Amino acid sequence: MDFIKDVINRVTDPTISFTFLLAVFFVIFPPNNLLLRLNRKLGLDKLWTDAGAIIFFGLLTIFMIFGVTSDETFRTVITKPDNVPIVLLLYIVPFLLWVCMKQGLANDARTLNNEKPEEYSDPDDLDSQILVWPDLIYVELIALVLCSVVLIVWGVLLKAPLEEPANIADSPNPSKAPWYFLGLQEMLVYFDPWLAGVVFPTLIIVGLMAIPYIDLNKKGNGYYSFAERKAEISIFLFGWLGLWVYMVILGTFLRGPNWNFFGPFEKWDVHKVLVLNNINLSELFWVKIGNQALPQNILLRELPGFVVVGAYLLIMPALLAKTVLKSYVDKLGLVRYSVFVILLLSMAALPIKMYLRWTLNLKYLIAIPEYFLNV
Amino acid sequence: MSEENIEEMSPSKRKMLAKLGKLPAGDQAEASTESEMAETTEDIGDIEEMSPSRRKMLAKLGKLPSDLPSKSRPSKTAAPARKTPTAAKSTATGEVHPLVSGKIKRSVKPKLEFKVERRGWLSLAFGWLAFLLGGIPAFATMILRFLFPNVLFEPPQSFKAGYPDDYTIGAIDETYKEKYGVWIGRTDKYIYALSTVCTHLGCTPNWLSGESKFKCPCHGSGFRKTGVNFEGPAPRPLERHWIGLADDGQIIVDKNIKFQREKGQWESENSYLPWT
Amino acid sequence: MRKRQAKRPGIFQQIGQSVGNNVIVRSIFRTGGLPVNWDRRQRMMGVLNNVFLHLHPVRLPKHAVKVKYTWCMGGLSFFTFLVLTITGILLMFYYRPTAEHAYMDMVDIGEQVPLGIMREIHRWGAHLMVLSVWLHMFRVFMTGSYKPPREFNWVVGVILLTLTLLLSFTGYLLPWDQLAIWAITVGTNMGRASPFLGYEGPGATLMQIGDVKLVHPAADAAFVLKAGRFVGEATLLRFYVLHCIGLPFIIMIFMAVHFWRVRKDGGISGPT
Repeated sequence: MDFIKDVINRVTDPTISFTFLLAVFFVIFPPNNLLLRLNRKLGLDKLWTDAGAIIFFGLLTIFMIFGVTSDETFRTVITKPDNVPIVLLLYIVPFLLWVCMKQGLANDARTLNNEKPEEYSDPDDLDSQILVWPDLIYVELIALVLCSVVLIVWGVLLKAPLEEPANIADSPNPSKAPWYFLGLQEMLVYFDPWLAGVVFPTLIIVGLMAIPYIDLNKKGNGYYSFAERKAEISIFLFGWLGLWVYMVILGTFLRGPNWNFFGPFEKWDVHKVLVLNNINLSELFWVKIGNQALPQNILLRELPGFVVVGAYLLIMPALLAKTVLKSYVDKLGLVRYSVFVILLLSMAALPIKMYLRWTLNLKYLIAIPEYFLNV
Repeated sequence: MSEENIEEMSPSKRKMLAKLGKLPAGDQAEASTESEMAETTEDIGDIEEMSPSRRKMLAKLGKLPSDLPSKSRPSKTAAPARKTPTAAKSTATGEVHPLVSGKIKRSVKPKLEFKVERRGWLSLAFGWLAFLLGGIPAFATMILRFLFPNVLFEPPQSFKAGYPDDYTIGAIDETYKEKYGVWIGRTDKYIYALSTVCTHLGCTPNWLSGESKFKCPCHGSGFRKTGVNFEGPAPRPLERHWIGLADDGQIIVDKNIKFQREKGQWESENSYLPWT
Repeated sequence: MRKRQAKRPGIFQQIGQSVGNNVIVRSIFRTGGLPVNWDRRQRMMGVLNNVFLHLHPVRLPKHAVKVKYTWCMGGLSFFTFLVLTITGILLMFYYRPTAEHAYMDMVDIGEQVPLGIMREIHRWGAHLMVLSVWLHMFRVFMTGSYKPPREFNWVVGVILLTLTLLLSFTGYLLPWDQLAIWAITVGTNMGRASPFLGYEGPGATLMQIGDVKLVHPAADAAFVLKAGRFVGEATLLRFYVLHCIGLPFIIMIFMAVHFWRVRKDGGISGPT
């Protein structure tokens, strides 16, 4: 028993679990034909069958039951009233994803046979249409009643939590943001607040808004599909599942006192010591590699950082335009492509910075605390 | 409030305080007569200059002599009845407007019509432009300014923190953490006052004496005993506050003045208190 | 249904019919008759004549009422918003947004008020609303429904998502407990680091005219949120007003646009 727990504790560590996620994700949701073929060869499309769902949710439930019955830390975290939505999230997001993908694959098969998607009904055939009264009204009524019942039962069973009165002098340990902002809080570990708290949230909002104007693919409008819009779905799901939902779950279950990482079955020890001696790129470059003191001039000191960041934001788009994303430049035009690639690169910046932290203990690429400019 | 100088108060504030009975008797009397006078004379104002609606309301409340001839009524009746537009009239009588029926063709006087339209369009555009360029920024500035009050009611920023010898060398004292948000530390050479606000996002770190470090519970920033950051996301060391000695030999800490290490301010005077 | 009606109306149907045709009822619901007996034309009129129902079109393609297509998430987001409005108004009767009273009022709402699950419903409803708005966005993306002609409505939807999160975030402070104050401290201090506008953000040192600093601890982006240098009573009041009036006002405007655009952009999305 303890052996299993130990293995799970190790495997869930972000360095391992996120790497696993990264490796598997683009095979499960292939963005291009090459990966799609690999996906089919591995038989990963079986995930979206009934059997796949039963196995997945069976395993998830067994894991939950195992955790709740055998481990106290896990039990306290799972049964915390404010964590109910996240447990709900654990079930409902994979389920709805399964619903999407299953219907999407079915529609893909129909498209291959030159059939219309399942959702299609002839707009000229009035008899095939449904009247709002009573059909839609019934559906709505049932949904409302169910939702009310769920809310009332939830409200009766679980008291809304109320902690100690506010005290500005004493931060609880750990102090967590509201669950839906845990992705931001996780980002704050790797980026300076001006990026993680201001620039990236803005980019997320702007990026979401930009989707319909960047995505010029006319197919797949108004029905579930996958093959017709692989890249769109793959990128969106990576942002939404990999960088947001995953971070929410990580922040809820795996972040403990002092914001240290704790396995799901690891006791929350306030005195757990993790060595986190982070260094900046300037120190790495001048002191460790160059074997000399940091230059006095700020610009010279941070030169390596400027070079790296500049290359990432200026040369990388051009490089991608010539290689991997060549077809996108033709399809989107220069302006759209630039917006798209900048958004894509800022999204990729988070995993990149995470790996830099884990491997090189890198804190900032550019560190100018004198002017609050840290990247 | 009581500490404030009565002389310096604004008249309206003095008046209000007098009403609440919070001013000394002499001032109160003066202020109250002032306010009474204001009530009798100013409040109603000049009847002639009043707007009709206000006069009507005052009359209802019995504050105006009721036999005063109302000015608004005759003017209203005397005003000519609103002209109904000819188009509406003609439709009402069942006629069709010549332009619509095609009796008059639009091309008869195209030049004149164009000019009129253009002038209308120009003035409209100009009006909107003036509104957008002038009105909105002005209004936005007003709203923005409104969000920043002139006076902040925050707890006092400087306090006395006992005698220097109360502190042990090499320890962090947490006595003033709760009330003032300050840790006081002592080395073998000096005493310093550290702010308890994490430079990352403003949580309050915990002092872990066993590991001899400050550890922030929000994102795991760690600071050494001196306040220098060494782990986690905090971008810079904790701030130090002004520290000095009062005449009675006690330590004074003033939180209004802060010293940041990355700006080289920890070397400056009063960023620490030399004490051996 | 038509067949049964032709046979012989039962006693309940007769009563229902006469109620439906009553003068007063008829003045409210113009369609008349008993809804179960409505024929096709009456069913259409029933939707058209009702201000609430006419948010919907009269007819829909088949897939539009299938839960596996819509997941009902848009409707549930709106429904939870209504639930939150009602419970929120009720909670306002017992809550005073001051440092002195806020926390104890919270305790009293749970303990002293009969049937005191309003706060529970409000809190869990808020979680549910965030969840359903997310999932609504997820569904709309996966069906490609943001594509023309619905691009702008997707943008409005993103705004609504942001406002939902802000509503939940401002409500987080109101219990005035440890969870509240520290979540808000962290959240608002991020404003401190806004480029140019926060006093600890990059470029803040440039915002200076001569010796006058334009951006400093008592005049920056975080200050607007907190109304002070620390999270305190003024912050509580500001968040309370935003939570109860400011943001609901804005979100309702955008909701109206969102719903209106759903109809104007051709109703529910579907394959052509």
